[in-house]
Amino acid sequence: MNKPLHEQSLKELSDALQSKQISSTELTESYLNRIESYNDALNAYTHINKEITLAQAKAADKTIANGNGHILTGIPLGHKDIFCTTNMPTTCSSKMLENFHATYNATVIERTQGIGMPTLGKLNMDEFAMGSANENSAWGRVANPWNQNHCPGGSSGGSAAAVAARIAPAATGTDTGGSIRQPAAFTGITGIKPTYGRISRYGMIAFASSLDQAGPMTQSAYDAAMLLNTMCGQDPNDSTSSNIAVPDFTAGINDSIEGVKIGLPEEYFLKGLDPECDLKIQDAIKLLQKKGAKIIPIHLENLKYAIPTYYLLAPIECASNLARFDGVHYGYREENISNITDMYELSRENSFGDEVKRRILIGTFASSGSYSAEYYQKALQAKSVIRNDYRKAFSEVDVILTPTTTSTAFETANKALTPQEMYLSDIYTVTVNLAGLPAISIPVGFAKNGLPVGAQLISNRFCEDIILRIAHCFQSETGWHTQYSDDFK
Amino acid sequence: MQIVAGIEIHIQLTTKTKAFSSSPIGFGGLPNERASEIDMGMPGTLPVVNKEMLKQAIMLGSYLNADVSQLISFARKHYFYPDLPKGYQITQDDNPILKGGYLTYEVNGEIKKCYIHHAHLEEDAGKSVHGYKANTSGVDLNRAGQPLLEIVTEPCLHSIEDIIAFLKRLHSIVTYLEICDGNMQEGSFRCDVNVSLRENESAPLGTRVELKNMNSFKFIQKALEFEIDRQHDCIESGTPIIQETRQYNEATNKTESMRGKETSEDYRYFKDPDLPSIWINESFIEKAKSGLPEHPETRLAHYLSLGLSKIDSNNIAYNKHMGNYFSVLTKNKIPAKTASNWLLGPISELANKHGLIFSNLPISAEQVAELLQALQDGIVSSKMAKEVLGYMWSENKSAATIIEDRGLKQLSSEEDIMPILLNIIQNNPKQTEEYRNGKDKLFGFFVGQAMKETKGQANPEVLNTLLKKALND
Amino acid sequence: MSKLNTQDQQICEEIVTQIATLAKLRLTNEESEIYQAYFTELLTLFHELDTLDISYDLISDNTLLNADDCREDMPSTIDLSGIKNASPHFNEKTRYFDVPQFIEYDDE
Repeated sequence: MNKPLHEQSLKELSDALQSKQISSTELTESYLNRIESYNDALNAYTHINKEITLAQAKAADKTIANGNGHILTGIPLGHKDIFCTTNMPTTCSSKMLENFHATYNATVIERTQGIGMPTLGKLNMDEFAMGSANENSAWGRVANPWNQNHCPGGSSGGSAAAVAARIAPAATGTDTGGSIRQPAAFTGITGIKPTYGRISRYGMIAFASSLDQAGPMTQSAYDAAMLLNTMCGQDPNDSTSSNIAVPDFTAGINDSIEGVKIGLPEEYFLKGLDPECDLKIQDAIKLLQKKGAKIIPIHLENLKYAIPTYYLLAPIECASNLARFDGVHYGYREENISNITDMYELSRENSFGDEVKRRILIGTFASSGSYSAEYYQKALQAKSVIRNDYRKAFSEVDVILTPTTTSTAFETANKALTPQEMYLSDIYTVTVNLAGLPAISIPVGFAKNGLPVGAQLISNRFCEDIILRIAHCFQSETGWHTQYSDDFK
Repeated sequence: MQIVAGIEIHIQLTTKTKAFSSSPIGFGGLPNERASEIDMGMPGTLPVVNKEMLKQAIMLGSYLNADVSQLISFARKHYFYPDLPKGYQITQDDNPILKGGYLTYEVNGEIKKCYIHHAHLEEDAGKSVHGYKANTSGVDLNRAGQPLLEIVTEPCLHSIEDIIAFLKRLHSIVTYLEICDGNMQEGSFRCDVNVSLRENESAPLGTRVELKNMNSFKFIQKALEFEIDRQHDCIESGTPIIQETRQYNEATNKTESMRGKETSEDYRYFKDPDLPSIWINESFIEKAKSGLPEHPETRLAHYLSLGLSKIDSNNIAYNKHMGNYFSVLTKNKIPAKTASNWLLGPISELANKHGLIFSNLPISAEQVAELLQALQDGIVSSKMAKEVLGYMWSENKSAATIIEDRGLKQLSSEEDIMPILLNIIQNNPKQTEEYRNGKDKLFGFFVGQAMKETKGQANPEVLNTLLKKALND
Repeated sequence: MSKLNTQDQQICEEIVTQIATLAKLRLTNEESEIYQAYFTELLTLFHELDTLDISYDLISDNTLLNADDCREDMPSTIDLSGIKNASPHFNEKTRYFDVPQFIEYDDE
């Protein structure tokens, strides 16, 4: 294999490891070296521990030698710093959890480490998963590998940047309103949020419990399918995890997409979408048509309620989930305090970032007293309406195709976007979380500014196979997903 | 003036693990030794519902004639307190497990009903100690997450006697079902009473006050007596009654305003997104109910039909294990009255003395049956039987063995007794003379002497008959 | 977008004081002002839900958990050997979590 290791897909690496062409130690070392060279510019990783990682690689090599290896054994993985790990700190990029060492591993960690995938390190994110640009991190912003003056998206910005710069062969991310898909689109990689309930949330620090879902961020749809096979599965520790059987997501991925009905919701292609993004997406649509897919216009009328609904429901759950950060049992505690009220109020005030505080306040407000009936109930109703829209649509089509984002990656220095504008940019991704559906973002080209453009495929619950199949078909015909910035070659 | 009272009772269920984590439930031990990462609310942890607490709630529902909700859900109740690690308590709001129902209780000979509004499941908070180190409080989460069932009555109790009688009846059924150990001192059965006064039953409700911190029926009574007087005085003097929570102070025998407690907290209830709604199907309910013991009222009716007094019947019926002893005794042909006398008398005395209850006595029902059979057969006298019981209790031997080893068999034959009587008569000529001359009272003297001589083993009836014969010869 | 009515304006001022207390955040004066402006925007956003029409029936597709599938009542062992790494305020000697004293008398 002449391709450098960091350009190889998970499938290629797996073959190489299984056939003993390379060892996990070699592979992991090469990635650790790349991290050393490139991480400073990106600030993708916030925690590295070479000793631990290499020890895991060594153990993986032993497993492979004994013939007990799994198909992904030995391939190192970066983890968003939202998954609890016992061997490395878990901070959610917040001062509140600086130096927090969990006493247990998240199920996602158990499953991946459990099959011998060494942990490359913990990846930067927006604080407590709240943000769309990875600007809200206590450990500094993350840069987009394509243009370091632009953000990589958020909240899984570190995960996206690491994969995009090829300083991780793949990474885990989480998605509550688009936090896997949007950064994937901004950095030109593939990211999938599976159906709500596919992947256990145990050990994944909660933001909005009914919307959060973990997912793989990879170079390709096939790689994502391989990782999904390991990450998915019911967990008795997570009562919201589904008992629907997990298929082999790689089986059938090569099947033709002849006759597949792809719905294009009119509402998603109106003004507000950057024309360059629109152009690239239209090209992608044409290609899929050439491969046999049928394009059908559909309506998702209630898109306009998406943002107010999401920005009501998510903060309510977030304010509740973050109530446990009170300085009593773990986490940041303000020093030199003499009474309990000061301890609560100052510990929280002085360790949470602005965006987190904003959402806690809005969530507390929307769930309290008389306001609750008016706003919260309306939002719950809107959620049902949005789900219903999708239900209707899937009776006519197999998948829905939309842009992932309204533009290419935001410029950092600008900071022209108000919080509200930032929220509005999530319009294409949040409805998917509200309906609990699976969705993938794949790169479909570049805008004139050199930044990647992503398209999103959404399918019905538990139908990840079809969006993976279409994505894989597209990627078999195009090379967008193999491209990465020259700065990292 | 009419008293209007409603009560919220929190009972600690006797499951082996906590409500939402599989941490063991126990007593004492080191602080935080039964606190897992879930109980501590560590970030990323999630609750998982305990099946057994659903069953125990359903069992109580049966005794409360309540509807079991087949669709239940859990909610978060938010407030900040050091012993509440998640910053919210998992409880039930919209869909509690039990709805409606009533419990009959007896007060002053009258049978009454107390109506239940609902009962819901929730998790307990931890505990704290204060000032154990300078200016420091210590939080112990052993209790955090333990399952509680909160029973809320309608405001349908109108006298202190009703309140106490109802609570005692509720206490006896939850302990009867063994879903709660009933230890009020340790907080297994907590009562918060909401009480107000109004002109009469058609007048609008008065301002209600919540009373807390009464850990015995005696204190509940005293607290209510004080509070009702206090409210009376307020009304008479025109002072408005503030809606508040007051705690009972044992030392002063008064209820006191709880300083610093907000009267209305905004708990921001909403459905817990980590727990799906639960569907309780018919077969689950049936299975839970199949674990129900014989109902105390059924036993009560049975005992009354056997001729036991109302009080005795009640006492045995509502003590499940004592009732189980009673069943074994009557099955072994021990007369009901004898069985009940012994259970409520000597055996209960010994149990109380040693701080034991009928589920953990050192003697089994079969062993008691054997003893009482010996009594029936005249092998031992009543007095001797009590002695034998004592030996059985401490030595863990059967009645037969003890009677044999210690030679405690009752003397019942003429050959055994008559010689002794004749001896006594011979040795006490004066008394014999006086008796034969008409001093009947001296009969007791001879009985006493005979008992002394036989070490109490003489069969009293036989003794009486033979003594009369001997003296009148 | 409709202008904020007086009720909403009042809400914005209240939010920052009352709600911050409820959320246990001690905001600075500067933050209070910034957040008030922020909430003004956000409430306008929420009012977009006013046009929501839900006069038709919606099927609920919330997943249910069967009581039979709930957790069996079997205790598991607790291993908190790493507690000190997670909780700097766990007192290893007394095994309490130490906090500033919050009740004056000892009352367990």
